[in-house]
Amino acid sequence: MATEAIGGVRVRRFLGGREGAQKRFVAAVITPALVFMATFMVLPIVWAFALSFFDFSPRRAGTPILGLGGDNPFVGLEHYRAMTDFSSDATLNVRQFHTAAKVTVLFAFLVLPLNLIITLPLAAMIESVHQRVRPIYRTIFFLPVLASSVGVAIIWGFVLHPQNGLLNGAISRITGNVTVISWISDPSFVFLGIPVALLMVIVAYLWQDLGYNLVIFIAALQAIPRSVTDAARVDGASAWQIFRHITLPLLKPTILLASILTVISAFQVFELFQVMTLGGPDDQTLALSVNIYRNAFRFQQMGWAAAMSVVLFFIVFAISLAQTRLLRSRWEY
Amino acid sequence: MATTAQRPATVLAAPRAEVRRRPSRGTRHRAGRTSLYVVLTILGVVAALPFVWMILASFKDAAEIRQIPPTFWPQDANLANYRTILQDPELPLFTFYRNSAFVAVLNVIATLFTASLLGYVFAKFRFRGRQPLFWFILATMMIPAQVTMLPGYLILLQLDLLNNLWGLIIPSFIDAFAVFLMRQFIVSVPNDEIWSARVDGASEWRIYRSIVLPQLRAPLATLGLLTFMFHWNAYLWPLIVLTEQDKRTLPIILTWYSNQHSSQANLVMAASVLIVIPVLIVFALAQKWIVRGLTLTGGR
Amino acid sequence: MATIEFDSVAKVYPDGTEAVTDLDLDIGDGEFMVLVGPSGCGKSTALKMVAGLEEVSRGTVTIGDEVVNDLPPKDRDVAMVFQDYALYPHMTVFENMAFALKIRRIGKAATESRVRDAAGILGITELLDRRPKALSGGQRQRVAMGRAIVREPRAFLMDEPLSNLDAKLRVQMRAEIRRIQTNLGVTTIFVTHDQTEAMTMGDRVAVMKRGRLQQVDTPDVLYGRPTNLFVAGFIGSPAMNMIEATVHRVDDRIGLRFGSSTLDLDAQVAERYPELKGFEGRRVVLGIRPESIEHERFAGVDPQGRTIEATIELRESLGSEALVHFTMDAQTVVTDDTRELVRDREDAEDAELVVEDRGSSFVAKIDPKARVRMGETVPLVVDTSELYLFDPDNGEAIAAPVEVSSPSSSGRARVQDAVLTLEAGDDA
Ligand SMILES: Nc1ncnc2c1ncn2[C@@H]1O[C@H](COP(=O)(O)OP(=O)(O)OP(=O)(O)O)[C@@H](O)[C@H]1O
Ligand SMILES: [Mg+2]
Repeated sequence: MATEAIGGVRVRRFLGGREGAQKRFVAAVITPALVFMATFMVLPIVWAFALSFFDFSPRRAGTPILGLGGDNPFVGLEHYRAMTDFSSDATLNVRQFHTAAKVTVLFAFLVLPLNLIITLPLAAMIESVHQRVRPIYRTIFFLPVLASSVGVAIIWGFVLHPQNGLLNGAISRITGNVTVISWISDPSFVFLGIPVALLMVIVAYLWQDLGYNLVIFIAALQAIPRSVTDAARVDGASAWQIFRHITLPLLKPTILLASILTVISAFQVFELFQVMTLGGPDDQTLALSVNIYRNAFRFQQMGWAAAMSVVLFFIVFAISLAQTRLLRSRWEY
Repeated sequence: MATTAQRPATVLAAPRAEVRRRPSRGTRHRAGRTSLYVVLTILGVVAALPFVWMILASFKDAAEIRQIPPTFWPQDANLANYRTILQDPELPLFTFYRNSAFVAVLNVIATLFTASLLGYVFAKFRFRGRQPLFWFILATMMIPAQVTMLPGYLILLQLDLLNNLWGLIIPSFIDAFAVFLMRQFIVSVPNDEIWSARVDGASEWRIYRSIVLPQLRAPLATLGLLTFMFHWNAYLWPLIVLTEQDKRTLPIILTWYSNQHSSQANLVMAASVLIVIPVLIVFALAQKWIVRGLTLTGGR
Repeated sequence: MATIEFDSVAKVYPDGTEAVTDLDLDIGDGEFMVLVGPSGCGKSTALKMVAGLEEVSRGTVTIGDEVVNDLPPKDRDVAMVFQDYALYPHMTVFENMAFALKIRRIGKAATESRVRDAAGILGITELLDRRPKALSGGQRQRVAMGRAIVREPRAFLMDEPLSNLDAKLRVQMRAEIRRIQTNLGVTTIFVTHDQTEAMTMGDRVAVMKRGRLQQVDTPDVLYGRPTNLFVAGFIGSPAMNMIEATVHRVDDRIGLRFGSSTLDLDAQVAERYPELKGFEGRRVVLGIRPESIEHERFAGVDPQGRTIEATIELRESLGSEALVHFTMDAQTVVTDDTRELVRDREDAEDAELVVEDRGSSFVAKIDPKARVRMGETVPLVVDTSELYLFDPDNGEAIAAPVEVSSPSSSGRARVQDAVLTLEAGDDA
């Protein structure tokens, strides 16, 4: 029970009885922590898996063992089997799950490249302005991160309002004729095969989420020693060549990390879909997170919701694993 | 000297000769500089527009807000919307502020306490199962909220904590990210200080309080802000746990109010201003600390 | 290859710091110019203005026959070696060296041969496939040099390239850099804060203090004919001993009295400075280099008018010679220059000593066979033809030794020119 750096025997003899005190201290801290983690970290995961094998509603009593069984019958892998039913006579639940999965994946993988395309150059631009005005720009782009997602959803809902919204107002002003476009409520409004409502959620989410990657990239840029870019300048590289051949490769580990974090959090976005578009129109923005919430707490289909959450879990888990694999390299300047 | 040069003919001479004929590069350079500021400023204005739109709309009256196409600047700016909201008996804003503050503050206290204590134990003590336990805590960071919220709801149901603000506090007593962050900092607290305190006869709790904690002021401040921000803005979990109106927190109230007055955007925007802007100002002022916390770990 | 000229160059940073003030400096084609001075004196700033990494605030920088003030770095055709080497961490050694050539589209074959040639010169051919992370400090330094060499630039700019190496490697690399530079004949500006490095490497050395050029000349002239207290104290190791003295005349001889000691200025020197006769009673700063003090037994000259009594406080043996430390009972010199020097030595305790002590610390380099013991009081003989006199008010030189005009091997003509110019200036 010695600390890491101070090795063993001599210290132990020297301190004698102190060891017991340390043991008691660790026990006093770890024991309640273990109880807590068992209750609020382990149990929920196990329980979520268990729920996914049952047809469960908290309204029904079930057996005393977590309410499982009895009126909440065991259905085995039925929920998972149903998910693989792609035929046209699949239940509404299943079809909605497919929609939700598609929406979520589309959302996450559209958000990622768009986010990087904006944040990387933006970070580089903010880094290259005078340091006195740098914080002003950074703050402007970072503010939405600090705002509540619900507020963001409501503000954007009003920005995109067909009659009274800022966007249509601006278009009307510019084109000269009154324009009324239903950005987030017309299911037939599709751009390049992607529902415009979903695109608008993406725009709002990008706006809200840019700040994270921006500050991460700015920090990474600041970690590149001035002398390295100076050396490239003296070596004859133009601003673009420096970005292309020096900055970008050096940012690679950071870009990977940011990408994975961006995707993972995009998979879990809830507020924008729930508040801004209500999953609509016609389920075009029905994200997995919203679908899980509705099934569990509106439709009382917790078993089905749990099964969907387990699927979400595995997607996110897979990406996280990839993260730990990919993120080994760190530059040493 | 300099006569011993044996250099081959310089290949680089050609581009140089060409360069010399070009006019001043300084002006071009400065032009690039200016356009950089212009682009950034335009982008900044666009980024700020939604907030500006919200604030401007909150000063418009019901008639103006329904104009097609809408006005940008309020024609007759007034505070009537705010008056309406603050006098609305169905919307005791103070209660909701208090609920949100209660939840956020207690979460901050709990998180800072457990994270620093557990971080200390993980950083400076050896005990059986330390490594796996730490990895387990890290792994829980990867679990989506949607997975644990269903059983979490059932657990609170069992504990009779539904519809109770404590239901928003107790399950987040230990925060994995916070423990991780603290451990990283405490590792760098010198072992010698801890040992010499032990030799001086200080109890372990005393060492935690008087040696470890005082060295963590900056990271604790950062962590505290992040935690406050997270719980203040939380929506999904409070939505599940709280069903009675007077127990609710601000984000839920905002959506409720927005649904109630869906045709009166002027009121909804004023409510949004009241709920979003004050904390936004506080966070913006403390931004340096928040940004530091985020970039330290690249974490969200 | 090209000349480099600074013409009244000044640099004011955006925060108002004036890092370089009115710098006039001409560097000849193929010359190895060393910029030396204490930390923060503006050496790097001056260098960066040549590279184009910092804008010139006032004046002009000329490379070859073109004013480069407005030219971006990529069009200046100069190569720079950085103190931290600034290697590109994501590229192999080969790619690091080839980068500039790739940017300039030199062609694959030419690039390959130039990189291999440079690697051969530097002995790093086996390292070409490694990443910088996998290199030792010395190897990184060579790669940084290699990156400059492959460029075949008009000038090398080196910013303390050796300061991150250990002492032995540093001495080795000094010689190597000089050898390479002489072979390539590339005009070089080499920045360092180490006077030994400056003296051993430079064709000429420019000494800077707080953004101002103090003196530029060959190492020999800097040593024998410093223009002011600052240069005198900065050049030479151990540093010159300085003490306040009063000038007095006995017959034709010029005497210098400090504390209880008196030294008679060498007659030949006195002759060269007739105006000293009018200095009777004036306070001056007397400078004596440690190597001009010898134990009486080994001095081999008449000790009359040349002797000081010293109680040895510390003796350091260096093998071929010995350093002895003692205190003279007279006022230490405290001027702007000496304060700057003390700050440069970065020894806070020493800094206080210099100000507070009644006497002033002296160091002498004597023959180790003079077996002096600590605490012993011994007679030491000062070579009075090697005395330096400075004006205590502005630190400027009043008199310096003559030996300078018998120059060593290289740069003979220039040294003599410099001495002549200086003397002319003094007489005026
Ligand atoms: N970017 C900058 N902005 C403001 N002041 C600066 C900047 N760079 C350098 N300075 C200041 O200019 C002065 C000269 O700096 P410079 O780097 O040229 O010194 P130096 O002689 O190279 O010192 P060192 O030996 O420590 O490298 C210093 O006072 C420094 O603080
Ligand atoms: Mg420097």
